Amino acid sequence: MNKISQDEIQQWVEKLPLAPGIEPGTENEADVKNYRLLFDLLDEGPKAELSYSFTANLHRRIQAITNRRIGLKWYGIAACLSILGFGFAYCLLFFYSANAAAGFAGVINKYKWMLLFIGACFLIVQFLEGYLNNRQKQMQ
Amino acid sequence: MKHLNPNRRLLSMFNENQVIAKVLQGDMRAFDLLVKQYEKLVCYVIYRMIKNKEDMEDVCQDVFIKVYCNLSQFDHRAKLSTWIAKIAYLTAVSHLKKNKQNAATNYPDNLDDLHFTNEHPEQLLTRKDTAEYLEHMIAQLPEKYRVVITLYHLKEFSYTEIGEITGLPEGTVKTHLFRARQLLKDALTAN
Repeated sequence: MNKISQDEIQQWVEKLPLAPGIEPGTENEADVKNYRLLFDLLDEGPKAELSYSFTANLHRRIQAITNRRIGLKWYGIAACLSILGFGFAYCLLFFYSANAAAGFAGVINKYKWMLLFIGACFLIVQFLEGYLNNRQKQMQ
Repeated sequence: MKHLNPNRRLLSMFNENQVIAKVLQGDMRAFDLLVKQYEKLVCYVIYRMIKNKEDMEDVCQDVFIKVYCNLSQFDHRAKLSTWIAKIAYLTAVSHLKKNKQNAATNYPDNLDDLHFTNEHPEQLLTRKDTAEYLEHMIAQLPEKYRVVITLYHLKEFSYTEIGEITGLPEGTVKTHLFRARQLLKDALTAN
């Protein structure tokens, strides 16, 4: 009989195909027994447990993410509508009077940094909200 | 606390494509079914990877949130279980990196005394102790060994799929599996 390795004993215990003539002998009896026990225990898996509130907590977190996404979507739509509104107002004014349109554009140009600052503040608040929520979750 | 015994009825009713389609339409009951179907898989992988058991549930939730948010990107090229197991593995690795728990551990020299007995009335108690001891030993194996042995003994994945999940070549998966089991067998034998 060929000498049998630990890998081959494992394969034999698992009933996986082996080369002809490869079979554990009496000298491997203890190994076979221990591998059988080990495989039984490994197949049972760990006694991993989740709390009963797992699904409820998962739903709550998914709902929070969904709400946040919906909120961001609406903020985006609102931002786009505002830009379109300004454009539309400019076109209307231009159609009515080129001078009025130029005045409107001048006002927008005058306050452009303030408008950009408000937009940036809004984005920073959104980012910090997400960041702090994650931190809070990690701290818990 | 609930034990993760798979509900056979739910398993037999589980239609992967139908459930995915419903989840993508926002059906939370379908998502619950998906969670029920794969919680054992995710929980086992996370349990074996993360030493701090207090973090386990949070990481399991992170995994299912990623599944929910990215389900539209699942391309059906692999099994859903393989895709979810990969997310679980990568989430656990990311958690370990963040928490610096990934330090390599050596196999311990001093082992607790355990006596393996044949079938007799004390078997159940002995078996429970052995199972706990085995978990203790598995926790000290290198991360790759732990994940390979866990995924293989779920009887869900082939060597190729385990390689796909862990990013290891198939040969390395086999080597890790056989080596890990030999280490564990030696530990059991020593007792």
